[in-house]
Amino acid sequence: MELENIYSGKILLVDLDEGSCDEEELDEDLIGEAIGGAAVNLALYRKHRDRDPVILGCGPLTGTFAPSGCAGVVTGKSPVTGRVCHVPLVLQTAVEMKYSGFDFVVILGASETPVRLWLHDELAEIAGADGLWGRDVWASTDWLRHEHGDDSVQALVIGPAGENGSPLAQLSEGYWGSRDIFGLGALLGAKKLKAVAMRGMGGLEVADGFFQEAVRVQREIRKGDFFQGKGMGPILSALGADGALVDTLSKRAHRSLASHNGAYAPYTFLMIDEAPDVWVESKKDEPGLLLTDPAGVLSLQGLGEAMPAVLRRIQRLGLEPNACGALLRKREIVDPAAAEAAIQELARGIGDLASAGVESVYSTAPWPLTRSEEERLVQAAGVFSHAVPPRPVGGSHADFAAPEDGTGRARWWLERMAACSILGLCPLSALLSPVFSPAEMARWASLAAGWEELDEEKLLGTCRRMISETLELGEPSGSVPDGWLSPDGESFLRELQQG
Amino acid sequence: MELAVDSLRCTGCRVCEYACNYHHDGDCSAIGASLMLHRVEKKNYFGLMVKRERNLLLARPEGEETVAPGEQVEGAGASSKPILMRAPCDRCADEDVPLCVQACPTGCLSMA
Repeated sequence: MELENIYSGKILLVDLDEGSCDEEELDEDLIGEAIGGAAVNLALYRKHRDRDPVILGCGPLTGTFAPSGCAGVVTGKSPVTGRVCHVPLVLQTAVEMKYSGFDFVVILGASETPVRLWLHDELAEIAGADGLWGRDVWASTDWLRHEHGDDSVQALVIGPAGENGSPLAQLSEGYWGSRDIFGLGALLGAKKLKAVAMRGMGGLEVADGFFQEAVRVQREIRKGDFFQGKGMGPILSALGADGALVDTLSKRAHRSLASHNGAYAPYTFLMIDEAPDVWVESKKDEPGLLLTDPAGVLSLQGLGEAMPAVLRRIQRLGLEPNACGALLRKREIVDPAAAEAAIQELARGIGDLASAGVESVYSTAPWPLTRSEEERLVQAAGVFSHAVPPRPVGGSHADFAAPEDGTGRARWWLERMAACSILGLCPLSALLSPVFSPAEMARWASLAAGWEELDEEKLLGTCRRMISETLELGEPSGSVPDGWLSPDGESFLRELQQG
Repeated sequence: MELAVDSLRCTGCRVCEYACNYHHDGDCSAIGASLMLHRVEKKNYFGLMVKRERNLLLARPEGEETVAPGEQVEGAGASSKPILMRAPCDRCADEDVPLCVQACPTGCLSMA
């Protein structure tokens, strides 16, 4: 497949052992085989696997006019599960990376001293991070924007939790939490890589006619009932959240935000120290927080009115909120001060799910609500983050033409996540609208890139191969709870691995 | 007719910037757009700036303001300066509807 459209055309190789950066041209044959995103990440992982790589990748639709074309993906070996995993990036970071001139960034080895990476204008620099190491996620993001003189700089950042190697450490997207349930924050901490900052001022070609078709599809998506609302509240309600939680959030809800060209705005900002109906710029520097992760919000709902403030502390420390919530529940902590103290301890690397006796799926905190067969299966597969809800959100399985049986539904979810992670589409959006079918997603990429050979069959074949090859890598640590998998489920996972 | 912004309907998705650049330069980028999202992220304060031929429209969430050339803008940061160096909005003269209006998923942009 030719690359004149869609990709910037460069892979960046970052050698932290040597403190050097190198570039490779993006290979047409590699894209022809793997299309993009997580499948290319996986090929690069296999090539460099003896150096414990972490790969940042974009899909062909990342940063384009495709509906919800916001996404990138981080691939690495989880220090929590022992297996290779793919974590979606869904805010502005992946778009910024692609426009900085790099479609894929391969991070190899480990630095002896704290460093940061700066990507801009097709250039990459490794710089010391002495002034940054020890700062929390918010202060780090502020520091990077000040250092580079631009509030539009985006960054992947770790907080104290990642620096201290906590198994609950999360990779953050700027100030806000990501979908990292696999401890990639601790992996970057072990590499002494505090942040990857990016500013993209480049441009991408898209094939003629793609803009008009993307606008038409976006309007089609917006006709769905779910898209008449906005914010995290309707998502939580659709997932079966307690009405009291939704009420708590609605009392503090400020404006909601969408990702790049998102048809729905899922990210609700909660005002904590400011009135939620004030539209002028707050005089307070940090009046609230952005809700980015429904699993984390659901997991912390037992804290009631104190939840937003505790979640803000979790975000600042760079912790995974779903796991934090599971630990707080196990310890029966509901007092805000006690919760904050417990969280500070977790960020110091003290405590994990297993030693606290918390039920876990390969040492990750389970999806906080329902436990249907398909939900248990996709969590046991462990390839994609179950911080993305493990089921449709904007309708029923039937609305999304998903199979009726558990294993069929699990395959449906995994393939939808795989397609998004390969093409650069928001995985949550693909659960909000049935329009995001593999056939449609393949058609959008084919139109944008001018790749006539990309169709549903090619996309699904790449998805299945990528899932299978991911499962082959790494030995799982931990286990699933007793009774988590039925014999059919165990057989399904074996089939998945065999492709 | 000028480009109008219903600021509170904006969700900060930025596709308008990319659509505008596509009109001006024919590629997917935000760097040459006549409009720009201004966002103070930790305060969730955001709105659009539109460079028009005769003035700069600041579509703030609390209300609109127009700024004539040479006037000082209260609260403008370093990230808002580049808009002044860009081509003004020509309302996509060769289109029935400007591309930003076509692309906006929330209907926050219109011609009025």
